[in-house]
This record gives sequence, structure tokens and C-alpha cells, in this order.
Amino acid sequence: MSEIPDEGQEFKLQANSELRFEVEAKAMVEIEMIEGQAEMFGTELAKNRKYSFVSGSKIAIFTWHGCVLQLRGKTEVAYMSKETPMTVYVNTHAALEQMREKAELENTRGPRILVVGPVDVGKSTLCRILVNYAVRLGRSPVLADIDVGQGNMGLPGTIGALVVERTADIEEGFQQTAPLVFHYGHKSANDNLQLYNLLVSRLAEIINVRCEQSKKVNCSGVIINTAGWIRGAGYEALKQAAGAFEVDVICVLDQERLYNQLKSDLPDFVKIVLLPKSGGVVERSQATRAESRDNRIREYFYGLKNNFFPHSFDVKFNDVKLFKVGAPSLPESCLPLGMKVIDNQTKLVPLLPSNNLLHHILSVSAATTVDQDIVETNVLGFIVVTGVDVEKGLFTVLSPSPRPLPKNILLVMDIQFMDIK
Amino acid sequence: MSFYDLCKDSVLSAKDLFKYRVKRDSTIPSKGGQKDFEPNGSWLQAKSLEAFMQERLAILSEPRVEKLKSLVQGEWDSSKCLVNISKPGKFWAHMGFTDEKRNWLFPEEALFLIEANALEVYHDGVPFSVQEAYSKCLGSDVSVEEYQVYSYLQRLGYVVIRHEENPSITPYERKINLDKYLKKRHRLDRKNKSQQKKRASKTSTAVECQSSGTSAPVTIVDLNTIDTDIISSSNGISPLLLNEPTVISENVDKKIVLSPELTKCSSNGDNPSYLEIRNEASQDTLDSNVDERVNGTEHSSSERTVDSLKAVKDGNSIVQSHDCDLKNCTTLVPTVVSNEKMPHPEKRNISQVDSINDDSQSKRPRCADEETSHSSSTEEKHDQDQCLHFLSTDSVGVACRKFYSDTWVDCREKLKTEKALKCCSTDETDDEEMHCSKTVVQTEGVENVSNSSVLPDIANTEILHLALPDQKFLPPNVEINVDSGESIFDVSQYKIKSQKNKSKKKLKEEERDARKKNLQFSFPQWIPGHSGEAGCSSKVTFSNWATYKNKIKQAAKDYKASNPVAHYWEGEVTPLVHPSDATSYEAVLNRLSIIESTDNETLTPDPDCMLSIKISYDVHQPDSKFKKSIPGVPHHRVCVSNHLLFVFDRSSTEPPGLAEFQELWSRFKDNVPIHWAVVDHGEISFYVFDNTHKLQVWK
Repeated sequence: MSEIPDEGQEFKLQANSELRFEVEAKAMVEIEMIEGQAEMFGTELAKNRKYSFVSGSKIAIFTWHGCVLQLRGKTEVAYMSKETPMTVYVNTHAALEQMREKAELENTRGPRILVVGPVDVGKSTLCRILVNYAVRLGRSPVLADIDVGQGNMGLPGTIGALVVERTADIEEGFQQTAPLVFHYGHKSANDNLQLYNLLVSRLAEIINVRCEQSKKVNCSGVIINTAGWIRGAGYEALKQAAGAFEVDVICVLDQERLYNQLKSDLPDFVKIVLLPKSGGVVERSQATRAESRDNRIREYFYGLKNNFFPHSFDVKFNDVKLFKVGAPSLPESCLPLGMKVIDNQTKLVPLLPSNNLLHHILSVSAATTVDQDIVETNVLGFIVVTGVDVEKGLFTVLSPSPRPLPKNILLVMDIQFMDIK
Repeated sequence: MSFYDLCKDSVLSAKDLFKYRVKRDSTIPSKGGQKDFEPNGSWLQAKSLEAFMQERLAILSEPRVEKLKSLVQGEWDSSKCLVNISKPGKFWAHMGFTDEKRNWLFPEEALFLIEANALEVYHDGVPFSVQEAYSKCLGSDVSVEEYQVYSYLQRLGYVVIRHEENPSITPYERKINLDKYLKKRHRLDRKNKSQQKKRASKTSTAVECQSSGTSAPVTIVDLNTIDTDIISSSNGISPLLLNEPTVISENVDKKIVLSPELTKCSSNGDNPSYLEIRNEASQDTLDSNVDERVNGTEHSSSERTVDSLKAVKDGNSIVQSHDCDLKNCTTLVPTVVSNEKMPHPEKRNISQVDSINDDSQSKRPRCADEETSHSSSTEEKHDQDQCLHFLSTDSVGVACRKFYSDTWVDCREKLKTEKALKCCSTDETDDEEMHCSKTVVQTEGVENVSNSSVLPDIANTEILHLALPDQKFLPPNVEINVDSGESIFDVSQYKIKSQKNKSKKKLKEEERDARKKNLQFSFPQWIPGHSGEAGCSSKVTFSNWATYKNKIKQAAKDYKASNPVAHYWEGEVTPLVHPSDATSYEAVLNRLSIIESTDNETLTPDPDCMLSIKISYDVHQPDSKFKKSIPGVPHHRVCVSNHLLFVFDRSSTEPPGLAEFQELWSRFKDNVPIHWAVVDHGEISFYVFDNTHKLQVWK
């Protein structure tokens, strides 16, 4: 982190335009709105308040009315653009809001929106905008994220949902005190498609129950963010998700092929719309994706600006039960006649603690008893194994909060994290 | 006259010895010459063989002259089966290890050095003879075969070190080039431990005088203990920082400056956990400092000091905020507690909203002049958040992310019970779904009547006209200016632009898609009902998901019933492959699983036999960069086995199977080949699987 130089840049934004900038590596950028009104991905900026963004952030600040922004710090690019799809997005929102109002009046379910599209078209951003707008109108929609690669809800390797009751924080995004997170364990949905589909439908089921319990949540609807994997099995998974959530609207971002495909494959009552992507989206390389995954995990433990202090302590092998989901499949021809293959992909496999655990992320399951349900039970948080001592029978973990662990059932992820920076 | 003859019956002077030290007798061939293949019984052959034997004997009995200085003395430790050497020789670069300042050699290393005339091992004050050394060193720890392999590879010039059973470095660490750093850290840790003790006494006194200057006498006692803790931990890293003494002093200063706050904390009458907070927090930051320091060779030192200071500051500021938030906390405690107890999530929502959301955003439109208050309220909100965070975290209360509170548990339970009562619940959901779909349909109707907003869609149009949405559907402070023509979105323009921005790779992909578009052949369409959706949706229109799903289920059932071979599945014994599975050779064969595709990763061995296979040595290529402490990735690993009957450690009689080998290999994941050394009467041969045994049955 370098010092932020005093002299700032001033940008005068006209109405309906946006300022886009990227924060340089190892730099920090501060932005302050001096005049007017502006919003970032649907969240309003407060006047004369400094917001700081850490390196690698890609920010767009949009204004409906015009504003003056002061920018301090090193940016890779910083430019103003008048061409934004915000009008289209806000119209989308208005249409959804109308459906919500209808649902509220008639006491039925609000609109469920699936946002799909290839990678780097701003799916997560569109979700954030739609959710924020809904929240600003006093709704509390459910934001579901079934993109295991980025893990916006929990960590990479999980899918999750969140009842949003307040707009996303400018700096830190949505408040995540009690999200519903499911352990998946791999970076890509392709690694265990069966498990992925199972978890998606389980997520949908639990959200349904939640909607039944609260009228406000029910009529506010669900906004679902997806992974950018839209070919082959990825496309099938999208259809599966659409069916599981019983979506009403599918927003396809910037791909006509996908739009046409979905049009022909999904029933007519599902409204499928093609939306433009913002000109400001930045294509990310494989390396930056991996890095952002790593940063996401670090952020979980240390906070966005290193403001959290995770705890490190020893856990005895005997005190916890380790599991992994998915076992090598047994051929049906080896089974006695008439027996059916049990789903191996979603099977719970007990693991013996060993050195192989080192640096793996473990999810702390909310389950209390050991049974197959663990697979479909949400998780309470994550720890990282930072050391294994086989002789003493204990491993050292990095945990967000101090001991003891809330539950003793741990699920092992494929994903690894090294606790250094 | 050869050297051998010279020294046969007379003791040579130092001068003579020096003369012969380097030179070899060139008359004696070092190798055996041409190989005779078959004894033919001739006198000539017998004679030549005898001459050869004589030569060998001469070589073997030749006294080897070395400098006395280069002969290292060692002491045999019979309890440890190791050799303790006082002064390491040249070989130390790739042999032996250190433990508590004693230098040890493994028995095989010692034996090799004895044979190489570089080591003299004493036991009870008497040096070993080579024979004695053999009998002592081999047997318990090292088998004869292992030693033979070891010495063979050593003589070839490889660096052979014992295989560490627990590789402390994972492939992931190696991938991001951390192995070297980690090893270094381990060593430093060890060093620090010893140095820490020495300094502990000094620092404690120093702290005492510093802290006594700032705070009240009652709290001094506490502070002392805490601060000494911190400083001694910082002291642990001091050897590293010796070149930057200012940093340490600055760190210490920081702490001292802040100590009054601590006293405030404790004088407020709060429990001592707050002291702990600071203690732990700053220790954490210090730890992270250590990491940075060790790791950050690339960063300039000044940057690091800034970093570390910032980190310390952060830690402190959190404590501060915690401190000043205390009053707020008291008011917030009841709501938090009630949150936990509230049984109805709906109520909980409300209470959460009330307690957390003071700001405008969750409520209906606000005027613009409230802007400033808004900004301040967000700040307040921020503090409150932190406060809530601390409180609900734990008793210790260090700033950290807590585990998620499981508010979904009731949903989960409800779902469980619902599933148990499956039959009735499905009806209900059906009903409910009917409802929602109705609303969807109705909303559409409304849209048609009034000119309110429709979901914008840029597909199949050139220019998208956006109707101005009703202001009541827009969030506060969002206004669309109609006059500026913003209600029109030029799709064609957008398409041209986005085409321009696309990378070449993406364009290529799209081209490929376009080519394939008409060629795509999909089984789902061919076999209607297999995956269902494609076949049905075009013909029949559905009104909602429930009917749609039912229809698809029905279609699948119908298909199964209409299948000409459906009756096969009626009995108890059913065919393994269903016609719908037969999408490809691969699918059918995988379904049958008789001939399986295999590659290295999928082989699973019998877990029991694994215990007997032991990797003996890591073999490194001789390299000037080789460091004993950071050996890095070996060139290959060696397992030793005795060729006689193929005995593996005398417990099993089977040669290693592919699966076992694969398991062994996959334990490491670093693609280092494993060689099997088979020793047959002193002759050593190496075997290796080349890892190309993939089988794909459908190809």
C-alpha cells in the first residue's frame, strides 16, 4: 500500500453518465462526491464522504443527475462514459417492481430473476444493481449466487443466498452476517455436476420455505446470479437452475445465441430478455480470476482492508469429524443383481486426517448429527488448515473467530489457501 | 616400481606419501577390459583370468593415502544408531544433519565415508574397522540392499538423501514458490527460540520503566505482563530485524503511547477481556509483521515498516472504536439478544431492520436536503455495525469475522418435516405455484392494458423504445430524463460497438458457433422425453412451472411405457443399460463398467498393502545450487527391493502392482518419478513406470 497523494483529480459528470476506474495494483484510491448525486452499482454515495477502494477494484460510478467527484490515488484508467445501459437496467427494474407490487397486492410470489451470460459481462453487477434498487424501495429480495468459481456469498467453492435488507456497502458489498451457504468444494461446477445440481435445488427449496414464512421476502422475489459457463453441461445446469428456482424472468446478458437457445428450450411462460452489457466491463484473464479467488478467501479471514484478526488454534483430530463429498463410483456390474447404484457423486465420505489436508479449506457444517443430510446442510463458516501434526494428532487452523468451533463436522474443499501475504 | 611395492615392507616418509597421494599406479588397469563371455576351458583363458584377479587384489590392497587433516573423527552413538561428528568435512554440503548443535551422520552416510577414507568412527575410544562398521551400521535401520543402492548412486555422483516420510511442503506451496521460504522460516523459528530466552530478561525490565511512566500504578502490573508478552514475541523476530533496529523501537513506542487507553479501559470497570483484545490484536499484527518481514524480500524495507506500522495502527484503532462504542453497546444489547430468541423470522426481520437500518435506504423516498444527515447516519451505522459485530462475536471480542449465525435452521427443519410429510406438501406447493403463475399471467395482462413498463429486450430489434417507467417504481433519487432521448436504446449501434470491443478469441469462438449451428445433433431431440424439455416445450404451451414439470414427468413415464423393451424392466432382474443411456459407445461402456477407461488418477490400490512399501531415498542431481537445508524437488525417488523372490521388506512376496505404484506416486503429486531399485546379489538395476498407461476404451 502506498501513500495516497494529496492532489486529486476532479471529474464533472453530466447526467446519465458514469465514471469508470480501476485501482492500480498495490495502490488505494479514495473517492469523494463533492456535489450532486451519484450511485455505485445501485448504492447511493453519501456526499462529502470518502470511500476508499483497494487494489484491483473495478469501479463505475453512475449519476442520474450529474455530480462532481474527486478522485485521489493511482488508477490504471479513469474515464467518463456517456454510453451506459443503465436506462435499460432501470427499466428492467421498474418492470420487476411492478410485478412485485402485483405480488404484494395479491399475496403471491414475487418475480424470480435468473441472470445469465458468458463470463465478464457484468452479471454480478447487474444483480447488485437490481437488488439495490429493490432494497431502496423497501423490498427485501433474496440474492442467490450459484457461481461456485467466484463465491460472492461465501467462499469460492460454495453457493449461497442472502436476504438483502439494506443496500450493498459501497466498499464492502452486501452485509453477510447470516447468508445461507452450501459447501460444494470445487472451483468449477463441472467437477461434480450432480452435487452442484443437488445443491442448487436444495438452495431453491430452502428459499421457498423462507419465502413462505415472510410475506415481504416472498413478494420481493429472488435474484439469481450464475456462473459464466454456458456451454454443454453448463447450459444444462442453467436450465436445471431455472427449473429448480422456477424462475419467471431470465435476463441474458450480451449473448444472442444463449438467448435463442433458452427461448427454444424453456417453456413459454418464462420471460427471457436479452440485455446489453455495459461498455465498462473488463475482461479478466485466468490468472486474475485465480487471484481474485484467493483474495476473496483472504478477505473472508482478514477483512477487505486487513481489519479483521482471525484466530489460529489447534484442533484435535478426535474432536472433529472430517468428510468429503463424492466418492469414486462403483460399477453396477459389480453389484448383486437388482441392486441400484447409489449416487456416488453426492455421497458423504469420511476422511482420515493426514498431511494432505494442509492448506485446504474446511467448511464448518451446521449439521449436528452424522448422516447423509450433511451434504445438503448449509455451512456456518470456513477454516483453513495451516499445519498438521500427525504424531500429536492435531492440526492448526486459521479460523475467523476464536475457539471452539461452532460445530464439529467439517467438510473438506478441493480449494487451497495459503495464509501469507 | 609401483607404489604398492614401495610400501609393502617399509614405512614411507611424509614426503613419499605426499608424492603418491594424488598419483595412481597407471600400470594397473582400473577396469576389467574386454569381457569374456563363456569359459572355454583353455589354458590361455585361465591364465588371463588369474592375472586379472591378481590385479584386482593389488588394487584392493593398495593403501590409499589421504591427508590426515581431511580425515574426520566421529563417535558412534549406539542408542541412536547415528554417528556424531565433531567437525564436518567437505562432505557436509550434502550429508548429515544438525540437531542441538551436534552434527550427525546417518549410518549409511558414515559407512560410505568410512569406505571412502574420509571418516574414522570411534566407539568406546577404539576406531571401527570397515568390517565392524558394516556390522554396526547396517541391519537395524538400513538394510544391506539399501546401502548398496545408496553407495552406488553416491559413487555415480548423485546427491542421495534420506526420504522424508512427511513432506512438509505441499505441491501447492511449491507451485507458488513457497517451499524455500517455508524451510527458511522453520530454521529461523528454531534459531529464534534459543535467542528468545536470552533476551527475555532484558526486555521485561525495559518495559517496566517505560510503562510506569505513563499509567497509574494499579494497572501497571497487568500492563507489564501483557507488554512483556508482546515484546518478547516481537523479540522472537528480533534476529531478523537486527539490521533495522528502528522498526522495533517504533513498534515498542507505539505500544507505550497507547497504554493509557488500556488503563482507561480497565478503569472503566470492564472485564479484563479488553486487555486481552489488545494483547491478541497486536500480537496478531506483530505476527503478520513477522510474516511480511520474512517473506517480503522483494519489498523495500521502508515499505514494510510503513506496512507494519499501519497494521499496528489498525489494531489499535479497532480497540479505540471498541472502547468508545461501549456506551452504544449497552443500548444495543437487548435487541441483539432478542434477535437470538425471536422465534418468527418475520419478526426478526423487522427487528433487524429497525436496529440496523436507521438510514433512508430501506425506507420510501426521501428529500434531497437530508443528504448530509444521511452521510453521517451511514457513518453511525458503520460504527454500530462494528459494535454489533464485536458483541455478537464472542466473549473475547477481537475484531474478526464471526461464523454465520444459522438463521436458516428453522427453514431447514421445516423443509425436513415437509419432506417427511411429502404427499400433502406437494399438493400445497402445487397450489401455491398455480397462484404465482396466475399472477405472472395477470401482470402481463395489466401490462397490455396500461402503458407501464415492460421488461426491455434488445433481441430482434434495431431500436429499443423504452417507455418511461412510473416514478413510483423507481428508487429515490433515480430520475430518467425523457427530453434527452434516453428512452431510446440503439441496439444496432450497440452491436457494432460490442463487436468492435470483442477480443479476437471471442470472435473466433462465435464464428465456430455459427458454423456449428446447423450441424448440431442432439440426442434429446431425437429421443423425446429423455431429457424432456426440448421435445415438449415447442408443441404445448404451459402456464406455469408446476404443470410444466408434471408434464415432463408424465412424458418421461409415457416414453418408458411406450418403449418396446419396457417389459424388461418389470421384473426383479433388469438389464444394465437402458436404451436412453445409449447415447454413445462411451456411455454404454461406462454404464457396463466391464472394460473401464483408466488413467493414472483413477487407479485405486488395496489400502492394506500400502504399508509395506517404503521410499528410501530422495536422489538429487549434483548441482552447485543444491542446499542440504532446502533440497527442493528431487530428481527421482528410490524404493529399494531385494531381487531374491522379489521380497519387499520381507513382508509380501509380490512385485508392486501398477495401482500400488500409482498410489505411491500420487502421494507426492509433484511428478517426481519413483525408481524401483532391485538388488540381485549386489547387482543393482532400476525400474520405472513411465506413466503412459492410459486406456480409453471407446477410442
